Amino acid sequence: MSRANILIVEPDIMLGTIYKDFLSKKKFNVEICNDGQKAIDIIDKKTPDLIILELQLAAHNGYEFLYELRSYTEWFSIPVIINSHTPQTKTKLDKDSVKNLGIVGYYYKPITSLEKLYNIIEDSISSTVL
Amino acid sequence: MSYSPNEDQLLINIVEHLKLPLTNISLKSEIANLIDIKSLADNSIRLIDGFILGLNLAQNELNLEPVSVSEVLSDAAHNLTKTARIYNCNLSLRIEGKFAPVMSSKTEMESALTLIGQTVIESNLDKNKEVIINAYKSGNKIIAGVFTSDLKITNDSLRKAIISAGLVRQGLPDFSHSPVAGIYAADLLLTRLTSKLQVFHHNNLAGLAGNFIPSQQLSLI
Repeated sequence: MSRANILIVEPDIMLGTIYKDFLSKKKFNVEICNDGQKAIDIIDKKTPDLIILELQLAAHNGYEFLYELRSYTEWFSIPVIINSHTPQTKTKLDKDSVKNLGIVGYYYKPITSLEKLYNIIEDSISSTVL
Repeated sequence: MSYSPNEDQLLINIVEHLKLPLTNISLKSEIANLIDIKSLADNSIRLIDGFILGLNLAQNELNLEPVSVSEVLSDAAHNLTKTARIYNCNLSLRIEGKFAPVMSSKTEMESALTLIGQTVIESNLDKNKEVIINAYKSGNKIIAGVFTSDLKITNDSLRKAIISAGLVRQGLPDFSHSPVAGIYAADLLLTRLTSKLQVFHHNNLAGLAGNFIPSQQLSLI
């Protein structure tokens, strides 16, 4: 089975490196970028199997990125996991928006361990394949 | 302790910013399998979140919802499991009876009880001490909090410490070597939710707890 391709949109370089190193040692090909516009460029070149997104991004923020991503029909089925410093209760995303934007999970980054994130990714990818 | 709204916002921004390096420390220590360091970082994040919740509660309307005290205590006990293990503490959950729901806010209540638990566990008490996350009925109220045989504070010393928060480094010297910031954050939360944080005695144990009034209407649903 081929390695799944994951795109992590993470503005903090140190955190991004930690996620990339950890997930690469598992069985994923991990690409990382620090803003929404770069993420769109990367997806345009190589469509990932899953996107992990921080909502707090500079310039092109996480919400704008999500709406742009879902405006292209060929990318509509890419699952997105939000792993953010913004707790879900403080976001603009109500239940309908979460469903409509194809968000498969919302996690509060400061309390989401690497192992938990790995399990979430595994579950998301296997349910997508099924 | 009171600040102007602008100062509050500045304080919130500063402490929010601190969560980023703490998250880095937490994840790095997870990779290095340093569970004690990870626990310290995670607990500090919880303290910051509790403090921010408390400040936000003071400024905004409280969104009341029916809350099961038993469920909140269970979640708080779950949050405290790792810390208890690191501090060689025997943590247990004791729910004495069945309670009607209370009108409160689950996130804030769970945060307050977790912060109280963290403070009690981390205070410089004996190893292998018993810490009990406990809820029981007292009159028409539910007392919910964290109990231990080693708690050497009274309501009077607790109120004095809370009044002097920020003015002294060690508010409760008989109880802890640390600035017990979790106690202040928990008091901030509980004061808005129901009652002040208080010292209670139950079953030969002393505890830091809040009291909650069950909703008679909700109990009929």
